[in-house]
Amino acid sequence: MSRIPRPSTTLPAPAAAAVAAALGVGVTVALDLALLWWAALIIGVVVAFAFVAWSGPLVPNERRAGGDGTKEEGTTLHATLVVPTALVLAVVTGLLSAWFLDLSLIEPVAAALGALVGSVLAFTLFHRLSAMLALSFAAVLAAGVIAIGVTAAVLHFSGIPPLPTFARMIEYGTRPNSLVKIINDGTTYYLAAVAVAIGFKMKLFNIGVDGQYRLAALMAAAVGGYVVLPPVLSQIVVIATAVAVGGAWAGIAGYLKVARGVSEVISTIMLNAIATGITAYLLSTDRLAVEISTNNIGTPPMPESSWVPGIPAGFLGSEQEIFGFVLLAVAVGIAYWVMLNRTRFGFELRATGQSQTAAEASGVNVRKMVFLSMLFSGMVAGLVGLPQLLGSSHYYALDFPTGIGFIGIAIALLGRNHPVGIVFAALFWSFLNQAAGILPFDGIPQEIAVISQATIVLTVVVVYEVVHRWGRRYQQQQIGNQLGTTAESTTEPAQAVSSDAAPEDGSADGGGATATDTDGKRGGEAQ
Amino acid sequence: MSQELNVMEPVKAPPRPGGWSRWRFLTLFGAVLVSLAGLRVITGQDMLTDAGTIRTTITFAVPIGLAALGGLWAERAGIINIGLEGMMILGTWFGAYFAWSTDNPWMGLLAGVLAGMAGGLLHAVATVTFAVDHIVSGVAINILMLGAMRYLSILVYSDVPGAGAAQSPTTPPFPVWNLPFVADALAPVAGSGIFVVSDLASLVIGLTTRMSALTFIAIMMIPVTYLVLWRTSFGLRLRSVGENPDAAESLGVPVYSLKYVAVVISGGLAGMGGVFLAIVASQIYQEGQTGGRGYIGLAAMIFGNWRPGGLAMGAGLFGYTDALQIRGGGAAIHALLLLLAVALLAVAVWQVRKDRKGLAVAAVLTGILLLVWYFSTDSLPRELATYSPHIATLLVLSLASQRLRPPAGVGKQWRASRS
Repeated sequence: MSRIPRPSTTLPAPAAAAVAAALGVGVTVALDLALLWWAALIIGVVVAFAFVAWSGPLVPNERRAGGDGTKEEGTTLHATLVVPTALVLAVVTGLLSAWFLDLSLIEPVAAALGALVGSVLAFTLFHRLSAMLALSFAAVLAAGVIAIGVTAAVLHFSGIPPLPTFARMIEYGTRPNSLVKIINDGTTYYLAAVAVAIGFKMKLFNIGVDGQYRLAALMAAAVGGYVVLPPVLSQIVVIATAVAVGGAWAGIAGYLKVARGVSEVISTIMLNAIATGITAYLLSTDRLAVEISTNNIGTPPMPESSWVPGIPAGFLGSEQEIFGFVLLAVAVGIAYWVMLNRTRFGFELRATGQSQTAAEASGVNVRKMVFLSMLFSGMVAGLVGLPQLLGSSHYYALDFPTGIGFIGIAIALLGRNHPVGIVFAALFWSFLNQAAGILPFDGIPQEIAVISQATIVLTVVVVYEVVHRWGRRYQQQQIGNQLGTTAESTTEPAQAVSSDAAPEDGSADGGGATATDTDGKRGGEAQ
Repeated sequence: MSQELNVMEPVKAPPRPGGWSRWRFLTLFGAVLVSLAGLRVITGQDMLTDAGTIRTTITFAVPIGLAALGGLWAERAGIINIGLEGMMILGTWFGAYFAWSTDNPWMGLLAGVLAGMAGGLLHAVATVTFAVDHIVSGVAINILMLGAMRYLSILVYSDVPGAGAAQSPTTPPFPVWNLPFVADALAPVAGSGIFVVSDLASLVIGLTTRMSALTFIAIMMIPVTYLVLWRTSFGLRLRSVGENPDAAESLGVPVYSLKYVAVVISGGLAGMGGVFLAIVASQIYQEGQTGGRGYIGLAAMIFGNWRPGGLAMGAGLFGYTDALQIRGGGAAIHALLLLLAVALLAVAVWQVRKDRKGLAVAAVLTGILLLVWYFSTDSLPRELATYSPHIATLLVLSLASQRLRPPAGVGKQWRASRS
């Protein structure tokens, strides 16, 4: 790409970004007159990306010193991995945002805005995407492709044409009402996955989210149904009950692990079964339940004052409402991120997860960490049933959704335990569920969605493991090279790789510092 | 009953005289029999030890035992196999399908075991070759198999009468074996109600009559596993891989291959458990038939301290409480409360002797609580009775887990040193 001549002036980063964006939007708007909007948008973003790639070396280094991608620009890995990944991500994000905006805006505007998002992202990703993050994205993409391939193969061998099936799923899954359902289910899944992820971060397997949320939802529903309180207080009491019950139920497993050395995998599975027993016991007409309809018993419906109002989804073109609990899920996600990255507890959590012995040696009280993280995991798990309870059904009955805890495990794996990754994983999961709902009408088993979900989980973990190993080897190699070159001479630091007149002030220790920085970053990203 | 047996074990264990290990099972077995017989006489619940209960116990214990054996094979080679549940699901589906379509239960057995092995192979590829976290891979397998089998059912059974997405048609049964004359000869003794004697007679009748061929094969798997793993050099190498793969590798043991073999066998055993559930226990494949038995099998294995004999006892405990619950509901399990209370008081005495006051107090309080519960009610609610094995597992694990010793290398994402 460096064959096209470049001017020898430098270009300030904001200007480069603005030119890229203008180029992308301009091309898209122009082509939109002749082509379909998505074709125009793809071409527009690609053109913008081409400009970014061409102008990359012109943008001075110090403007983006904070980015991990900086020093990797021009290396083979950057050219073969980061650039394609950035391109794909930019195009896909542009398409998705244009499509999403299209639901509430007119088409040309949506396409132009999508192109804007895509172009700006092209610039940011090209310069900022670190190799390790690109590896993760590439792993997820590869896993997605493999999973789609496996699903297509399964469909093909069952005598069902794959492509029309996929088209049908996408068509149904993107209808406005489906979107609302996807967001609502995604909220529930997100909470479950965060609950699981808190444990996963320190290699603690809370398989018991399933039992924790069901028990918590039952208790919360009973409190909400029997205790009549003024509006805001009522919601607070219901939520607090759910959190307390979930935490207590997980706390049993945590206590047993810490005090008696019982593996949390086994104890949480047993507690799941016991929770099923307790809910069955309490949910009878002699105890907590009342008759709800002919075939259904449940806790008494809550008064309307204790419901959580939904958000009208008119901007998606749907009559239905999005659970108000979406906001709580967002808050939980942010709190999870802050806890993980900005508190001492989060640091100790991650440290314990990566090496228990090292954490112990540096003064972390591992037993306390195990108990507390199990407790927090259970408290978040307690929230899982609430969007459904306070947003839609308003009572806990026999038909309350079960098995969300296990879905949460899968989603946490898919999202790599990252607060943002889990968002996409949860939405993807509920999209598949919802989109497959149309298939039985065509005589196709909708369980194909489960097959592709499970395949993608399995392939994601395998591909990620493989890619991670490559990445580690590559990093070792790079550090080795850097050490080698600094030992020989300081005239050519490893980062001066661009063909342009890069300022030579990035000295050897600077290179070393960024290398360790990447290392730490990678550690954070992985597991 | 065996809850008491495992709780009481520490009372007898410490002195460990020379021949103790050889006689331990017999002694424990005797203790269980005597206490159950005593309980039967005191409470008048004949169901506690009659032949029907024994037979039902075996029916419920075998699939759990097979899953536990599967877990044992995998964990002895250092791989945690939480995907046992998924492999059992494979076994139930393929066992039922092939038994039905070929009208031959043995073909079903073959297909179910092979399907379980295929599941094991998948787990092995993920955990051994790609060094993925074992629990992650296992959970993914469980999710996958649940959906995949339902998918297959919809495709295969859509036009079969009496079958559908959630179940298969009825399968042919395995041949049933009886030992001649024994039942007739012992029936009067069993009916006499004499302490211990009649219980022993019922036990013999239960073990020798109406036993399915697959039950026999499954029970034989326990001594076979013991002999292979503890009495052959292959077994020694396999266990060394689970204890210290680096040392094993340095001695030239093919670590990867042995792990593969172990996990595939583990899947095969779980598949056999699935076949048993589908063909022997209910003669039909049903969705959700495994009901978490893969997980319970894993618990039974931990309970049994990663030993074949121990896991058989664990499976027996689960099977027994299940059987009582199925046959008698709350009343019989209610009687067990008494036994549990006494056992807990015994534990308390033991803990006082070991100078662990906190535990002793906890045990006494729980014991007294159980006694109060026992005397103030006549029956246990059905919903809670169903889950008594799970409560028992938690209780036993929390009392005895310090004495357990898992294989040292279990759960490690081990890579050969050459890479």
